[in-house]
Amino acid sequence: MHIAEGFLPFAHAAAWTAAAVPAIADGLRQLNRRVAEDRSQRYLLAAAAAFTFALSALKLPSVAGSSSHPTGVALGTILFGPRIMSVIGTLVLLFQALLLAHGGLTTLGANAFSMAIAGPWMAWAVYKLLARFGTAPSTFVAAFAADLFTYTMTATQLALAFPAADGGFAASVSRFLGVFGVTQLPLAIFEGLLTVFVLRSLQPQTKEALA
Amino acid sequence: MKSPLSWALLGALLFGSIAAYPWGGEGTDDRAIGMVAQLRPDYAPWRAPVFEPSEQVEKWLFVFQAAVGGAVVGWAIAQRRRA
Repeated sequence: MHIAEGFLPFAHAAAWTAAAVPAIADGLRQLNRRVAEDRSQRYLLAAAAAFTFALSALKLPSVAGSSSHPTGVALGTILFGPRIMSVIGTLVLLFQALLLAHGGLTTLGANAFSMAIAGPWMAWAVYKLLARFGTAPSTFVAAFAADLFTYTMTATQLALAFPAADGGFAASVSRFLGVFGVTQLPLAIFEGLLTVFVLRSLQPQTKEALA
Repeated sequence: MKSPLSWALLGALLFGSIAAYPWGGEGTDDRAIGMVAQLRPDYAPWRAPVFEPSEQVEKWLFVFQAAVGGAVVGWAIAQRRRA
């Protein structure tokens, strides 16, 4: 879902950046408040950031000789909410753009919008909606949905910038979805399972925490 | 397996080796660029990456990133278990 540096026309890059900035600024305020309230949250914060950091760089094989990477945003979303996750996700994307030539600065706004805003909000909505079915099932579906929604968002962003000569936006979006779709499906399942496992491992094991 | 260090090493090894394994297959992020070229053959990116590592270096940067992430996740899990 990383749109490469320079691969969105200037107007599109600027518009997505403008759309992402308020959400990130709001998340930053939330994050400050949260950490000031409870310093013990910092382990979880580190885990949430590291999880996205690792997973969004983890190129995994998929069907028919293609490969792709998960996003890892559901874990932090379930632990901290989508507003704080937008900050964590954007920091990860910034780091990748600067040091790894993965994504880019001009496309940072668009990539943040898909992976750090749209993905987490989808994860949050699904998680809340399915909460009554228990933590594990709702976590699994939340991570699965966030992964696919992030890539759908990326396909939409690319299609808006590059409508097909024949068929315009709709034709283009289906072509970009074709690039991501089938490849992403097994990875979204993997991401769902891994998120359930890591979230469970992060739960405190002591009776103090159970109280 | 109680110490945070061994959990961190385990995490680094797990994620690092998944990233290091030569799975092959073209990444979807690259394929998306290919699709842009198909839809708009005349489009040229208007800005180049700040820093563009060679393919070999890039591969190891990804491994490094996965390993560091895995280490921190492992370490955090160990901290939570000790809490």
